[in-house]
Amino acid sequence: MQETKINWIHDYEKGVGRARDEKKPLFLDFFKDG
Amino acid sequence: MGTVTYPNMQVATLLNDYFVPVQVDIETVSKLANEFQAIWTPNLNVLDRNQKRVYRVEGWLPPSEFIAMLGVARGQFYLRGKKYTDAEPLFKAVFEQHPRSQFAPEALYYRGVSRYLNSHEVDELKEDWIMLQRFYPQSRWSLRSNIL
Repeated sequence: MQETKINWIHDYEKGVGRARDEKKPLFLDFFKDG
Repeated sequence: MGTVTYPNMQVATLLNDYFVPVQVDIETVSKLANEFQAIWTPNLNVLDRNQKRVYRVEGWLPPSEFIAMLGVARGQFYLRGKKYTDAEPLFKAVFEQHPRSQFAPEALYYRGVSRYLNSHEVDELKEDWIMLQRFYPQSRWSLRSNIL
């Protein structure tokens, strides 16, 4: 089966800009590494 | 989330197609975490174009629940933007496609809200909220709709 990966952006401000440009909701995941 | 839910193909497709997915380590973005009062992970937030949060979930969700949650979150994105006719079918899809999900009663509640705010016809609100009370009587959303 072909794997689909999430196109994560790891820069909040960059994500905000893209969400505005694309008129999409921004999904913000705070995670803890390890 | 990273080992079970995010690798799921449907989850990834929904996030890529309908959202701009941003993931940040809570320990490296303390100012941002404070702004969103994020004290626990997983901490999942959906924001509008003004960076206002329209939906939040804390804690792990399996893929099926995560997919239902995304439907409610998308509905809230349009509902809070007063795009009621865009919100309504998203809420409807959640309880029709995921009737056993914990998010189904919430979706039914807000489908009624979306329809009412669009039409101002109380019968439309009643239709959904009566269904909510009938099918999900133990839900906290049923309790909240009990004014009818």
